[in-house]
Amino acid sequence: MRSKKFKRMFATIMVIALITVLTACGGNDNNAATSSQPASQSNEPTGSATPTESVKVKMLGHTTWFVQGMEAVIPEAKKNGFELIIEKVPEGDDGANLMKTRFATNDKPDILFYQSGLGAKFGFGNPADVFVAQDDQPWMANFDKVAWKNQMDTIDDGHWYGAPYGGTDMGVVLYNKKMFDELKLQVPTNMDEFWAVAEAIKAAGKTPIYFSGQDAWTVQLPVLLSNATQAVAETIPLINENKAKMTDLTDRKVGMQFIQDAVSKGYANKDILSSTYDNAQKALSSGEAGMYHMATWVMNEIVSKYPEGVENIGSFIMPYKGNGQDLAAIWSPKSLYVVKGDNQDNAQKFVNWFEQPEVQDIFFAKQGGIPTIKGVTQTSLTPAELDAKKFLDEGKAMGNSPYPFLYNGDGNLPTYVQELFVKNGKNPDQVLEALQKDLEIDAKAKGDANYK
Amino acid sequence: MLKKQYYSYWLLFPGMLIFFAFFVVPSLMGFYFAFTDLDASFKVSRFVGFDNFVTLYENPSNLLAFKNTLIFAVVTTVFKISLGLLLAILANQQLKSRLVLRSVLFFPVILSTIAVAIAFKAIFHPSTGILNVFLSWIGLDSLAMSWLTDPDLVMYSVSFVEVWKWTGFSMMLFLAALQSMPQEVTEAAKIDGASPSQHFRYITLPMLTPVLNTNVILSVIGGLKVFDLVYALTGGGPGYASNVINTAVFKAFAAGRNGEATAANLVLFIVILITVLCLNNVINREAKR
Amino acid sequence: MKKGTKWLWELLSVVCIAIISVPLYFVIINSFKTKSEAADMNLALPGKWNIVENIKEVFASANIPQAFWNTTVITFVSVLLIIILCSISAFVIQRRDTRLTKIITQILIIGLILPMMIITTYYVVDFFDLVRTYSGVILLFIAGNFPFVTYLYISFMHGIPRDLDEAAVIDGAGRYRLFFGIIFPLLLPVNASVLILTSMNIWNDFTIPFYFLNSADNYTLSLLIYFFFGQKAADWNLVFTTILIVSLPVILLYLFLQRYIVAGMTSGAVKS
Repeated sequence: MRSKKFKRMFATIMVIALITVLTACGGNDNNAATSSQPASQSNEPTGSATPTESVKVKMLGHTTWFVQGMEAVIPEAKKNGFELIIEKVPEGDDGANLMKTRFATNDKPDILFYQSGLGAKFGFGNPADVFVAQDDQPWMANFDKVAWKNQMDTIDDGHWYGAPYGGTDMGVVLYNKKMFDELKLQVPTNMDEFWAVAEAIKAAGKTPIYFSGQDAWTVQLPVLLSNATQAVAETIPLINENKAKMTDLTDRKVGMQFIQDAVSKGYANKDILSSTYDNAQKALSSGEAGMYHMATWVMNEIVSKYPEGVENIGSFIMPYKGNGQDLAAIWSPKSLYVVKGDNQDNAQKFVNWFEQPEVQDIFFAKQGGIPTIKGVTQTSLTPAELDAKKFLDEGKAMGNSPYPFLYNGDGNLPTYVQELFVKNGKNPDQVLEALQKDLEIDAKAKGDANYK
Repeated sequence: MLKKQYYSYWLLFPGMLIFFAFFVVPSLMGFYFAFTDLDASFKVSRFVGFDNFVTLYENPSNLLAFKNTLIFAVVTTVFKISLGLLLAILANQQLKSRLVLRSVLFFPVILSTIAVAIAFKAIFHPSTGILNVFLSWIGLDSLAMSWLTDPDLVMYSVSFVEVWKWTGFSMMLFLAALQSMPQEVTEAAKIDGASPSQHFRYITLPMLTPVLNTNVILSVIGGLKVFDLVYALTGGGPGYASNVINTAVFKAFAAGRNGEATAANLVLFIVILITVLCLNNVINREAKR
Repeated sequence: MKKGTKWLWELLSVVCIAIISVPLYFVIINSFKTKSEAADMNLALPGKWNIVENIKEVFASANIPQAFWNTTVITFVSVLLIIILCSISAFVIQRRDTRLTKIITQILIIGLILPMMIITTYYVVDFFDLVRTYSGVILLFIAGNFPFVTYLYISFMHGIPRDLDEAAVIDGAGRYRLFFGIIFPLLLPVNASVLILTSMNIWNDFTIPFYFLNSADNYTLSLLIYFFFGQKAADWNLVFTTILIVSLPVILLYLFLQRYIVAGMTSGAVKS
């Protein structure tokens, strides 16, 4: 029976040894891995300026969302007793998946940074269960609820869960002003003029219109620009009740038709499907390309990567209709979401502090974007953003998706639009049909009675 | 025969425990979710039977992904095996370049798939990539293609990169087998006057059967499971042209259709299981003949 | 062999070397160039050797030392545990021929096929409270590599005669002396194969660190290349420099262990 005893002992030792090794490196990585070191690591010696009762707030968002503006806010937050622990995840689907996985497994931050208008369909759970509603928070006093209705509230229950983060962005045509000046071109006000401008740029040996087709999300911009219309705003509520179909969104077709025309007329760059967002920024800022359909957020990247070109870039509204009837497409600011949990009071305190005009001033003094909170005086807008802000101020702008969808019908829009460029790919009608099909699948999966 | 206490099951325990807890259990849990309406927030409200599978089947891009996965697995296996065998024989000859050949061929195997994909993105670029530049330099302009953006071509370009990366591995396995062949057999055959081709057909090939089996199965499994390479090289694009099952799973997951994603995973598992069982049978039968 | 044939073989060999080497050369040579020269993406030698500046710039814009440390710790510990756990498991499975070991062998083969499920795996790792720790990732790597490596060891152990065990036992060895003292040293060649194969697997893995070590400070090198490429796709010189830096350690490991690889496989995967 000696052997039996020994057997047990060995197994125990084995497991203990294993655990020791593992916890040894577990302890190790607690410095490195949980690290996301307090982002407030300024140069001042710790403890000197920090109030003793500082509270920790854990935040989660995409890496590129924490740049100049937030960097300026972090030390101020520290002075005011907030120690911000920021966990940064990659951009795009990759990072978004990660955030959703963490919410699904209840591994949540105190504040989530995400797109505005987050609803149940985005995969973070039912907003009322997960986030603290902001409807009656003090910061709302400086916020225009009417203007942002259907953009920043949640379609699920009509509440406001997100507090604005960063600036409003505008979907426009970014153009190289220097090139336009040299070729004596005017900003086009209708499609005839637009094609004439393209022809002149082509004749000068440059690329008139740049499409960065490898990054599929970028090529949906021309479509979303044509989507910012009253007609679309009126159709989407009908689609939500299955009284209209995606194929009724004829304004989207205008944008898709434009893409196909630009390519067939030879006004687009070559190797579209091998061109990236970064390539586009380079081409536009260096004057190799004349026009790029994008939103003003690209200016933040151009400022950091190709600063020499910033002053040469302006923006205009894509004149699909002409006669001054066109609107720029609005992208609401991103949002901070206070996550329900033990630390929600501190998180809420931070949000209320952050949304004060004085703190927003610190943010916008360092970073582009058009502020949403009233009373902000500091901004650092590039010429392209100043042009775009004018359209917003004049009321010549509308949401890029002017009314929220109840179901996920647009998830594949980037890929479908990319297929417009592919040999034997889709045509605009087929894209709309495919979107309708996706929407139906999602609505049925949710068990909507209108979609039986 | 030693008493079994020398090979106590307890020794198996730690490894098997980790293997089950962190691999087998989560995979099986996944299969359960394939029959539920697991949503974007990972909540299950009901059991939906085979609905997820029907949805998968009704979506034409998934059928394309299925087809692409098979193309990829077949094309890469055929080339990895045939080239691997050829190169192993080559590297086993008394050639001056054989040492270089052996080390260089294995190099791509140790590189990160992501790194390889990025390098080939540059090489395949339609206008600045060295492949097309080279083709037009030698006067074969007509062969210069949009390697990664032509939907008819893209799966083959991706397969090429896989073959480039992994042929060295396949070669190494064959080479190991060739080198472990007893010298006497080879000598005896020579004395009996067997021609090189006879020698290959009746002596080398049969002895290579076990390694051929391992090699084919590893390659097929790898091919059917492919994700990183396609994801980093084309992202499944342009459009859906190079979508494979695993990128479709990823996209369903990204779109919050998690029931569908797990269902696709289950389909993949069954496809691999069936393929491997069939292959095993075929190869074993061939070997017995 | 006839002289003509021999030259033909030699030529074929050189062509194969070229096909494999050109892309490698392409990456290396362009990592030495300046931004504008690398943009031409050709095979010419650099006009200006810019490697030091490139390395500096990469180090400045990506947290390489941290990523390097993360990757090294994870790879080292995982590989060590994989070798110990898999070899000992294989020993038991191969030496005992019972119903149970047969079932286990079947499970191992299914383990080779099973696709990993991120979501449910995340649940499990989270259940043990191991998300964003090295331990969690290491356990996942052990679990993921377990079937293949154990299988490899089992094949190899067929070639180690049981007489050896009996002789050792007669000499008074206990079961641990038997395994660690007698059997394990004989596994050297297959250990080398496992070492190189699993190291490169883990060093280069993308998915597991991405989901389970998330957040930028914990990136491993493979993640670093991918996201660096996402942000700086236009600077090919820097992208290639990153690739070079990241690949160097596994390349060195390979060069050291190269001669064991064939030997390990000869006795391992080849017969089974």
